[in-house]
Amino acid sequence: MDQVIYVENLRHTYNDVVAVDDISFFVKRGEIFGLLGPNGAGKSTTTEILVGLKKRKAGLVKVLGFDPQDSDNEFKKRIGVQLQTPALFERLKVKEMLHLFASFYPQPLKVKETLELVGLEEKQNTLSSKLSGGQLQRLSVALALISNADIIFLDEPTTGLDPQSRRGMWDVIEDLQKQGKTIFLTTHYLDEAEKLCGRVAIVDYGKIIALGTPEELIHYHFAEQALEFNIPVEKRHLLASTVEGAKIEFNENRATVYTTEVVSTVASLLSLKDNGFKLDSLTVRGATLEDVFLKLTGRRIRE
Amino acid sequence: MKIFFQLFMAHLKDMFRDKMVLFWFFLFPVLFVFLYGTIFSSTGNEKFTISLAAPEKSPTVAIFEKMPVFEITYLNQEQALNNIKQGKTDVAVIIQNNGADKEQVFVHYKNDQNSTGTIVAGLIRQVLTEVELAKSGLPRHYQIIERPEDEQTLRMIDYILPGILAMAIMQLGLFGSMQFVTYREKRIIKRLALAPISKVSFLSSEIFLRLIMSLVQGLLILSIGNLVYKVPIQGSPIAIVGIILLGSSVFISLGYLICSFAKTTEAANGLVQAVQFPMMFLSGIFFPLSFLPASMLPVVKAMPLTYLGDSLRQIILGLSGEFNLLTGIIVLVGWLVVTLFLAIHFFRWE
Ligand SMILES: Nc1ncnc2c1ncn2[C@@H]1O[C@H](COP(=O)(O)OP(=O)(O)OP(=O)(O)O)[C@@H](O)[C@H]1O
Ligand SMILES: [Mg+2]
Repeated sequence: MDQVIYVENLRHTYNDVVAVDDISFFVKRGEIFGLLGPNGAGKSTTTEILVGLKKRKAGLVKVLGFDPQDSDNEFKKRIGVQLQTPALFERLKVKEMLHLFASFYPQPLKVKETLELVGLEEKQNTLSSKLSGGQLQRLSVALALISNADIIFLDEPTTGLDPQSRRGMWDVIEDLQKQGKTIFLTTHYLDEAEKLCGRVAIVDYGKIIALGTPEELIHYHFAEQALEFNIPVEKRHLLASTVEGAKIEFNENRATVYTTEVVSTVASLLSLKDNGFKLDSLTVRGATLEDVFLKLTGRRIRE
Repeated sequence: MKIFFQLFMAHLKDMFRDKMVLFWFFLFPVLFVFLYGTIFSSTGNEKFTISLAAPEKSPTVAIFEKMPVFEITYLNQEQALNNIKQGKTDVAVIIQNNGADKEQVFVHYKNDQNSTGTIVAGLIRQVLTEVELAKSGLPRHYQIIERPEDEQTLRMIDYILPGILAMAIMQLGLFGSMQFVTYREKRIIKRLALAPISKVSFLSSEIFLRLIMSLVQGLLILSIGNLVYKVPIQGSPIAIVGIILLGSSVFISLGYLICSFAKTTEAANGLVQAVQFPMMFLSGIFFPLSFLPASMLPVVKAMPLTYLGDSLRQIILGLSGEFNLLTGIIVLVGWLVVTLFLAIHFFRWE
């Protein structure tokens, strides 16, 4: 197995804030690896340590055989990075920014090609200070892509993008993988992690609380399916006796019941009708990473 | 080299698309040249005006006409006297022929101490006495041999033009370095640290651009001074380029040093202002140091701008200045070495 990123017992603190708390994982060549977690989980800190921007407090890190924190340009030639906060020369045009970055790398992508990838062809002559937030984000990703490097690090590549652009970005990332690149990305979108990542590490308060393929995580934590429906808050107590033994989560007037026995559970729920309770907008779905996160932390990821 | 060039172009575009930069670094000094040039370009040696009323073919008039400092207006007696009353002329001269080759020369002037009339009257007396003596053929006991030093008369604009250049070089160096703080603040430095380029080439391309800009400033300011206001440029181009680059290096280096202590662009701006403001007014770039109270001199003599202004003036005008030129250059090199050392010591990429 070809590990291009190897992290063991990595720890980082800012004064007394523990941002990364003893995490270990590896990333295989050619996979899309995701770090999924809420705000402040330590995703950016981890990313910045992996690319050599921050010196870690403890632990072992190898990226492409280099230790990033005392790496040289040979290492930097082989990674393309998009940081969470875009940083650009304000008065350079999109095209000029890309040309500048292309000149840094031995075998960069073509500027035109990169512009097309991120859908910025129309904005190529716009000064970067005149771009919208989402366009800025896409330019920032483009600067990571143009390196044509072996590993592409993307710190929340789709934050701030509209739904359509997000899908576009997903396609770009999947294409990168097809070209044999390794992608390390962070996100707080569960659907994104589920859709894109070969393997996901769920992080919370600096710790990895689960790691595996999205399917593994879901099946490991949920053999059950999820039944969702509306129920007024004051009727919640009725549920416990009806679906005995099943796990129930409430979110305002929405309830989620996890069960392996979908049919019998639905049947018993229907019996509630007699108590003057309408079973509104019932949906049945398989569990998602969202459910996994909820189960592991007791919180929703964007609370 | 390719990367250096690309970075240089990036700096160049980023800088020149900023209208404020163009204004402060180029237009502002040029406006200064025009402002001072218009006010101060008159030569010191003005002519004395004489309103003259004399009979035709008066030999005395012929003598006056030979004096280049006299600007003579020919009038009748009444007009001439009117002019002196109204202060329109320095002196009014009325010449009357008394017959038999004798002429009476009445010199009217305002008899107060500040009046140039007093001087002109004296001058007229002296000129006529001299002629009289020569005519009389008397033996002379004194021989006056005049040896004027061929000192170029320094007009105010001649003095100020190198000062404006010194100011421009200082501002470019100090304020230009603030750009780096902005890059640091906007995390551009951090982003570039991820690319396989040396940070030094980023910084050196920026410094290289500044040096070139200072030469452009020099060319601009000196050309306008020379072409429009006839400021004589005596120094060799190489010496001028040399001193501009030296001065520019000093202030770029000082600028980076100051900016090492500032986290934000605003803070840097404050620090730079605090340094450049006193220098601008105390360094004698706009007026001779003798105008300043003696108690200020120790401060004045510590400031690099004082020496840059003085050295520029000496080299450009080919005159001697307040300090020995070599002293000036040594002090500037000293400032460069010290600020460079400190700037490297305190420099922070992030
Ligand atoms: N420069 C810093 N100084 C002090 N504390 C910091 C610094 N950067 C991050 N932190 C703290 O470290 C923790 C982890 O931050 P980090 O930026 O790595 O989180 P994240 O997972 O990227 O969050 P987000 O989704 O909001 O980007 C947070 O509690 C944050 O407040
Ligand atoms: Mg982050």
